[in-house]
Amino acid sequence: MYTREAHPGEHVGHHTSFDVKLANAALLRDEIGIRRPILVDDLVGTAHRAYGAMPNMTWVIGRGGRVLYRADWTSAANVEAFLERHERGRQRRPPSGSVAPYLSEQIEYRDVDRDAFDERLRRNGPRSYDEFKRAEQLWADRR
Amino acid sequence: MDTATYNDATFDGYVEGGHEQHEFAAWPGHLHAGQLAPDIVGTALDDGAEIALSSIWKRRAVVVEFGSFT
Repeated sequence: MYTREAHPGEHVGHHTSFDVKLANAALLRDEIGIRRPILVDDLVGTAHRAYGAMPNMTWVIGRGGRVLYRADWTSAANVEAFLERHERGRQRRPPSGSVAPYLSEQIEYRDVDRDAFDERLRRNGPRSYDEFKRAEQLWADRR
Repeated sequence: MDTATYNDATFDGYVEGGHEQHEFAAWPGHLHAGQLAPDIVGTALDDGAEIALSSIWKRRAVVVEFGSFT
């Protein structure tokens, strides 16, 4: 689901119309080479906000519409591991004869590649990089 | 929410205005595993069709990643 540009810049700006949003989504698809189906949210983020509005979240929704997995950041390896574990657990038939679902919650770790992130900020435009630097100072001042 | 509020024109403005703190503070209490997912609709980038997520999850599980350039 394509949402909003969190770090708009001179080249990839914030969305002021749905046509701009569609154009940015197509640019992202073509530059990154995304082959999965992309849905574009509406201009006020109705879908994004319904799921919590985090910038890079991933959800797995089971057949019938129940949430199976939520993460406030996307790790493809973690999602894949979850899907395999969930399906294996669901189909398992222990000696007792049945399994039951339970809830769990974890803290996970993701790779952080600051150079690559800075490069993407600069791709959006020089002011995107400058504004992130200023935001870092704002975060530091709050601590 | 209006277009300008959701689509902040600047990232430092999003942080400085408290919008970021508000959104991140709400996340822990938001929708959880085990609950029914809200149905949402998106426009398919390839052909412009309006697709409801429920039209997918009624047939099979679905992985939904939310994102943009950054």
